[in-house]
This record gives sequence, structure tokens and C-alpha cells, in this order.
Amino acid sequence: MKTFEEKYTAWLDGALEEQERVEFEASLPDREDALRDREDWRKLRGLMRESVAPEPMPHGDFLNSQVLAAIGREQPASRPARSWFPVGRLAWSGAFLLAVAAVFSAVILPGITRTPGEDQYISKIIAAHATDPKLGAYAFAAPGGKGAVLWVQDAGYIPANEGIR
Amino acid sequence: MGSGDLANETGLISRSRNGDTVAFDQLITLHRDRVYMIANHILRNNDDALDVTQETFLRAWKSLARFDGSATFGSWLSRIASNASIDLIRRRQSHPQTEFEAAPMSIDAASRTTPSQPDRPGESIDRAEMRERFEAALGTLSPEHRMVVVLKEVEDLSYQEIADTVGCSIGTVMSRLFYARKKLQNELRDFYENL
Repeated sequence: MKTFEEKYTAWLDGALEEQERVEFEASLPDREDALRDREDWRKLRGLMRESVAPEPMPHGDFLNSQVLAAIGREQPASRPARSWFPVGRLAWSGAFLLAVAAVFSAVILPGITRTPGEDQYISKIIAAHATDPKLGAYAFAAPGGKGAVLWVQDAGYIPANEGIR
Repeated sequence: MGSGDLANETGLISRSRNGDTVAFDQLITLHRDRVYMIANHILRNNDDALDVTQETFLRAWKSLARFDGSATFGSWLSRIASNASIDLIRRRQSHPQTEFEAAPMSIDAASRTTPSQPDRPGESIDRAEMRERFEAALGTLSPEHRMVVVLKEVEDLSYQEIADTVGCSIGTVMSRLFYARKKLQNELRDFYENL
């Protein structure tokens, strides 16, 4: 339900529907006075638009720079300080390290567990013989034949047909 | 604002939300005149209006995450400017700077007052004087009434746009317009009746 003030404002602005306008004008105690008032306001509105025109803002670009400078000053303080290693990341890292340790103990350690009487070294030299006294040749093998390394020292080159026998 | 401009503005707002100050710089350029105009109409002082314009954009930057798009970005900024201006007036009223500074008077919007200048029939009124009379008459209104009448009559905004800008209902806008117009007519009757 619109108040009298709201209806009067809409009437003055020509914003009432035709039916509403007729009903409102019929309800006015002094229609002639209201019509005169409306004409007065239209005259005043014209003068007002002419004389109270908005002025453009002076030195607009300066305002931009002032605002951006203020933002720049406030930004570091307004953003929450981020820890180099936050608690969440620390927890995930701990879980990852535990998982690595579990895999290591379940898969890697049993492979290198010594049985009694077996050589205690991870690898051992199995040959150290070279026909040329200038050369050095060393062979290493892991227990159980799991791997071997042939190390040839001071050889300028190894002929293809003499590679590895 | 056309649909292309609106899409561009939406993009600028989105980039600004992500901390892009270059995009925000463009938003300031798009809206600074309107924000300044609103602040100036409420405060009636160029320096204060400039301060409030700056504060408006700073508040907007900090609150960009809360802009939900229910009103236009321009209306949202205008509302911030309007609130910042009224805050400044209230601060001044509660802490007057000197005893000689007159606080804005509270006058019933519909009251009849004595013309502040004698009638001068036949005398031409130049533009500067006209502006002076209007500014003086607008100065007798409360900031809230002055705001709605200026947005309606000078800026030609719809009731809905004014409601979005000021942050009140359409009914309140229309009611304020009613009293503000009556007050202005009473203030300026001698002026416009002799034209």
C-alpha cells in the first residue's frame, strides 16, 4: 500500500499508471492547487538541471595514483602472513616420510638382511688381474650374484673385440 | 553502459578481485567522476569530496570479495561513497573542529521559511547566481534528502537506481523526494516565480 507521499511523488514524475492517476487526482482535496504545484516543480527542475550540473573531478589521474599508492601501502599488512612451512604441509610431510620408512623397512631391508655365515659385506672384489702391467682391472660383485661392476683403470681405449670376456 | 562495456567491467572486477591493480586502476577511471559527484553533492566541499572519493575506492578494494553483483558496480560504489560522506558529516557533528563552524541545521523539510533574498522582479539572474541559490537551498536539506533529490533531478536516475545507490527501499526514496521537493519549492519560491 503506497502512502500519500509516495503516490504524490509518482504522480509528479508521471510514473503512475493511467488508472492510478485518475484515482489519485480524484482523491486530491484541491486538484487545481496540486496541478499548479506540479507545474512549479517542473519549472524548478529545469532550472536545477541547468544550474546544478555535475562538475568533473579535478586531477582524476592523480586520484588514481593516490588510491593505488594507498593500496600498495596497505597490501602487505592486510594479507595474512604466510608461514614458510605451514602446519598442514608439515603434517603431510610427516605422513610421507613415515610411508617411505615403512616401504624401506618392508621391501629394501629384507633384501639386504644377512643370513648367518654369509659374507657381511655388501660387495666384494672377485678378481684383480690385468695382463698389461700399466692397466688396473677390478671386479666387484654383490652377494648372491645380484650385481657386478668391472672397473678398468688407465686404459686409453678397449678394443671392441676385447671388451668383456 | 552497453553490454560490451558491462562485460569489460565484469572482467575488470574479476581481475581486481585477484589482486590486479592495473584492472582496478581502470575501474577507478570509469567511476571516479560519478563517485566524486555524489560525495560533492552530499558534502558540498570539493576537498572533502576528493578525500571521500579516495576512501570510497580504498573501501571498495578491500570489500571486492563481498560485491555480489545484485546491484551494478556503479551503484555499489555510489552507496559506499554515500555512506562514507554521511559518516564524515556525523564525525564532524560529533567532533566540531572550531566553535565557529556551523553544523548543518535540522529543518523540517516541509516547513515554510522566509526568503533569504528580497524579490527582484525584472532583474536578470545570471548563471552563477542561479547556482548559488540552488546550492544554498540544497544546503538546507539533510544529506539523505539532498542525495535523493540530486540523483533524481540532476542525474536522472530511476527510483530503483536511487534505492540501490542510497541503500534504502523505493518507498523511502519516494517519501524523501516528496519532502525534499516541498522544501526546495519553499526555499526557492521567490526565485522561480519571478522568472
